[in-house]
Amino acid sequence: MIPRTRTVLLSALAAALALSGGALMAEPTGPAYLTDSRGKPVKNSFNQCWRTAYGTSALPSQECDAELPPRPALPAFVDYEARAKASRAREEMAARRIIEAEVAEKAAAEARYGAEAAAAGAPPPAPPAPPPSPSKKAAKKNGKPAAAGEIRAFPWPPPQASAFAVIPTSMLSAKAEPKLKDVAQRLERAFDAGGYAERSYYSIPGGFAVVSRIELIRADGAPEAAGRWSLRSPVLTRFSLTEYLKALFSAKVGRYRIIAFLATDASLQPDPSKKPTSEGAADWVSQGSPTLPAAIGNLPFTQEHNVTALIYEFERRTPDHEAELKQPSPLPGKGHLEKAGIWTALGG
Amino acid sequence: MRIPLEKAKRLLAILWFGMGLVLFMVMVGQSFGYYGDRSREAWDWFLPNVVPTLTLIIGVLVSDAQGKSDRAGDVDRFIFRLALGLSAIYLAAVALTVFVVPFISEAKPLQLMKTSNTYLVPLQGLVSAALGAFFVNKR
Repeated sequence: MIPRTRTVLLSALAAALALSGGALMAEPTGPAYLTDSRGKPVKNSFNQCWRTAYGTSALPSQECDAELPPRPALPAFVDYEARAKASRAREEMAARRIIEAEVAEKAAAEARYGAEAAAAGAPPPAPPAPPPSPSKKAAKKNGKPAAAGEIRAFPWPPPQASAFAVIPTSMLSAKAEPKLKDVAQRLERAFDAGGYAERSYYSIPGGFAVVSRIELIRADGAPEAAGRWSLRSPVLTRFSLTEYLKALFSAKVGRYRIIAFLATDASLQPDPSKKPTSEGAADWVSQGSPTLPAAIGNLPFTQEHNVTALIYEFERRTPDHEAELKQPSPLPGKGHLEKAGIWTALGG
Repeated sequence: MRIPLEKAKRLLAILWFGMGLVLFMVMVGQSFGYYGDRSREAWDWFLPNVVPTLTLIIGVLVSDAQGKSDRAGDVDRFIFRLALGLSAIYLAAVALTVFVVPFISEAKPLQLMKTSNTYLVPLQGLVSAALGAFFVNKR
């Protein structure tokens, strides 16, 4: 009895599993809406059809779903790559327009200067360089080099300085018809004499600017002997009790200086609202050109030209403070140039 | 091994008051220009690192002087050495923050003080716990 009952039970169980498995594998289907014995959909008091559990997968009923809004259309395929390309093309076009505008402005200024010089009997300036390609790859592909004679522009009007000094013309060149490059060479020799091996050229209206590297100076304006070119606070290298106590109780005031010579025939009126920071000014020497391009150097140094030295002096009261521009400097501009060894080198 | 409680307290007090006085004198000397107009930030760092423990020690000493606590007795030598060692390490860390500045080129004293709180705060907790355990553990 027992084995037979067991067999029957096992068979029934297997059949139930097969049926339910089949049911599980298949998708649940059935009418979307509840219907009565006549096959008509059952509605509530608001004339809405009652949905069943299969309502989402079954086809909608004409009678029950007439008021449903149409299925929204799928969004169109978005070509992101094409959008990115179009955006890059627009940016290149904008950059090209800006560069062309700047070159046109420079050309107009040169033409104006040439006309004035021609009226005064001087030779006309060199024609402006062609506009550079906004894409370096395109320039390489076309075999065209970068525009010659173009260097960065110094902030104009220049930031207000701590001190200034006008260099007499007699100290700059002995030639009858000097050019800007003669003046630049004279200034470079003076910089070399003062130990300023690093300097950078910038363009300014009517001439050029050459700036020195930022240096550490003493209270009297003379360059610091040790760590002159380092912006770090000096440390004790050899232990001495006196020096240690001095370093422990008195903050080492940091004084820094940048010398900028501006050779121009334009009116030099520094902008008092522009105050350079020590970090920004320290970058001037690395952002300019190490040499004066011929396009600027071949320009004549006329009687209207002047060379002015702008001294930017910064002071850091304590290591925790930022170095601030000193205005005015306790030393006059000529005093700074004398202490730097430049005034003597120029023949002063 | 145990040592007399009175002796242990005196040694700890000498260590804390001695170093505290030296650091206090240095801070006073530096307040006249070394930090510019930011000397208050230096004091805001120094006082919480030293004063709470000094206050605890003074409180116990005053209590002893007034006879309100049991001055007799001794303490476990290990606990005393633990408290003394932690105190010495902690005070050395505080002193180093001030005395090492002339030897570091990029050192900004106030910035260094802020950074030192990272390790001084947990160390101060250990020191306080050791001193508390020291004063409680007696026969």
